[in-house]
Amino acid sequence: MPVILVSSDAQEFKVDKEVAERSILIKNMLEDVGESDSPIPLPNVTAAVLTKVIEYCEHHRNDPVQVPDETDDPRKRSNDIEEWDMKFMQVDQEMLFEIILAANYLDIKPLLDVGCKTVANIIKGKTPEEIRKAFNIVNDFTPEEEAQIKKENEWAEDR
Amino acid sequence: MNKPPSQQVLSIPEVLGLIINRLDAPTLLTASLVCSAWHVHTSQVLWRQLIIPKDWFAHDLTPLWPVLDRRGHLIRALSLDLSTSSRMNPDVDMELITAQLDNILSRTPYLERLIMHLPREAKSSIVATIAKHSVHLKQFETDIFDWNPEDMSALLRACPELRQISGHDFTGKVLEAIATSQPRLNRIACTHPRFDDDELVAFAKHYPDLLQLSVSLHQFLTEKALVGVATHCLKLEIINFHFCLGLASTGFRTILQVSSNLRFLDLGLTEVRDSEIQLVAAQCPELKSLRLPFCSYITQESISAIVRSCRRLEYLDISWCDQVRLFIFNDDAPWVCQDLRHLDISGIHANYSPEVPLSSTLLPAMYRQISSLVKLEYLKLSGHGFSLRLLEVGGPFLSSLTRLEKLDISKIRYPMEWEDIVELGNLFPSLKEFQFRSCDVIPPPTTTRPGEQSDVSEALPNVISNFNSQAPDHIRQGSIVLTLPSTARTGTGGAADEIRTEMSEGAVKILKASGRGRARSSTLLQDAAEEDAAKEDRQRSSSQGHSKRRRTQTSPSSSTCKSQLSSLPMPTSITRSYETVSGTQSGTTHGVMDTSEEGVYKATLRSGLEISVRVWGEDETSQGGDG
Repeated sequence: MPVILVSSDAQEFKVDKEVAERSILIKNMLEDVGESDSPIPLPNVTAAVLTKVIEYCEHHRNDPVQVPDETDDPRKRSNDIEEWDMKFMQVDQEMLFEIILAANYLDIKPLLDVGCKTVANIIKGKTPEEIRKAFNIVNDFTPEEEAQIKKENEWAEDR
Repeated sequence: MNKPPSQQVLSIPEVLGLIINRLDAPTLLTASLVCSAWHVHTSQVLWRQLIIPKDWFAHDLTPLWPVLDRRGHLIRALSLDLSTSSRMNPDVDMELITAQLDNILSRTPYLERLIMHLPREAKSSIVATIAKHSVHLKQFETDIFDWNPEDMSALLRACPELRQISGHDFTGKVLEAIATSQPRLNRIACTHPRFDDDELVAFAKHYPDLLQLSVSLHQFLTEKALVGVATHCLKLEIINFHFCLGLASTGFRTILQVSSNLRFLDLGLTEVRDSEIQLVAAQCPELKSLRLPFCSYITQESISAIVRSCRRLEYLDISWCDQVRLFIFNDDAPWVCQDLRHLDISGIHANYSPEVPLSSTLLPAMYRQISSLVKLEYLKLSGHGFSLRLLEVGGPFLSSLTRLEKLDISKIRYPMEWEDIVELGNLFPSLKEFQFRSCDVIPPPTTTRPGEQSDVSEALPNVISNFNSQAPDHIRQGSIVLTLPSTARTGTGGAADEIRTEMSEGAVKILKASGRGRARSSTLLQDAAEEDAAKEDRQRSSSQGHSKRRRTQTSPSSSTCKSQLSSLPMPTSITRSYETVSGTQSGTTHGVMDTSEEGVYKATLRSGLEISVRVWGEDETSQGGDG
């Protein structure tokens, strides 16, 4: 049975229930509402972003549900991204963060995960200044604080 | 509201935490300097664990104390390491050790896991210092040799959250002390215990909810103990009776019958039989790790049952099981354990029968089966009594193992051409460690006398450099490995040999962990089974001496080829495939055999791994080809 999702800019999307339920938020809403064909408004997600999110959920519709204790296992945490996901995430940075926001709001953990991995990979190899510039972050350290952190970090550097 | 999405995302603490959790060690250090919010998150990862290398009490750590005063509250796991020579040193300065421990623990109030190595002669009264500071302790692992049961009781009473104890040489009295002081303990591991059947059963009686029972190197434990434990403990997830030779097969049956929650099973070097392992296959769907090295009664019947039914299996060690034959691979259907990460089939036997020819049927079947296990990170398939034909038959299949990080082919039956070794290594884009012996290699015809079996003396320096190059990987998981100020380091520079031995030991340990990158950190905090596993591995290597000769012959002569990766592996597939391209080039030019030093061959594999082998005439160790 299809479900109708409505984006913040009032565009309607008809998707299979199974696909929509990759989002825990929607899954819970559907469970609360019971059998109903009234559209589900998603005021925090634009049509452009929702299109991407649905594309992701369609592709992963048959994935096994992640067991929470396994995803929290740091041993399984690797920054390897599946090929399809990697291509899926090849978007401009604004869209990348829009997708992360939507995944967080809609509670789609695997998508949030892939998004965070992608950001982590962007961070890698950059200097602190480059990172700040890339993400509009303000340096709020005093020179003394910065020096202290550098000193502490020496303990963790390669011997 | 109209902040750019990047700022919205990064201002959600949970999401920022997720991102920072994904960073490797060097990036974590950089990221800590971005802004204060990032610093908070990175500190939590960076300071989660502290490893103080050997010998932990010998360093002057004065400069560390102010740092720990600020960051010590973030530390959850602490490992205090020791060298073997210090372990055996009879001159023990308990005052010094206690003072150092007090200094560390008083600054790490939220410690949950502690691994403490001590000299053999140290007194167990030292745990009073732990009792004083570490009230949140959940896991405690130590090698205290001579426990005073009262010290154990005092520790357990002071640390009410302690659930897991791993130790050595526990006596019946120590078990009793544990049972009367901490009713909610759920994991216990003991190497070389000194309790008897009745004392173990009496202990089990207190713990109907026990999850882990690991008893290794106990020569006199009998079936009676297992039957007794099976009447009380019905929830066991981790069972380990490695090298307990007094246990009969029926005892295993009794305890396995009641343990359908089983996740981890190590019955290496025991008399376990097929029927017990078939039982496990039938009733333990959650099994993750099965270790049966040197189990001479096990045949392919039960192993086939396991790989047809245990979908969650990640670790399988059936090395040197004399009756397991290549037939285990002869299924048309792929093994169901598609999550397998670690496979050790060294010493497997072929079956010479006219109906099922080896080279045209069995070998391709084996490689086809292995090639379907695309998550494999570790593969050891050395020691066969027949030619593996690794490259001609295996090559086309094995290249599907793109995640393979460690390959061990030492002790293959027929040596391989050096070029073929290089070509084999080049099949695997993620390879970080490649093990073979010098006598597994046929050197190019120019230099050395052909067919000469010799040892690789470079193994040790290689191990050492590897140790160092692995360190960042090791830290990456967010553990602080203490960097010693140069002044503190000089003290330990004594006998070179000792240090080398130590380094190589350390390397083994760390390699084991870094084989999967994340292992060490997670084990420190989380996965008891895994840590248990690593520990068991160490135990096994120490127990080889007693076990089988051919095994001991293998290890000292193993030439080890080491990862010289100066940078950490690239995380994205894009970069990786790019690397592959350039790597292949250097691979095809791998005629780059650097023979600057006579008899030493080197090559760089596409994964960036540098391998080398030295062939020289002297020091011919008896390699003892076991025909």
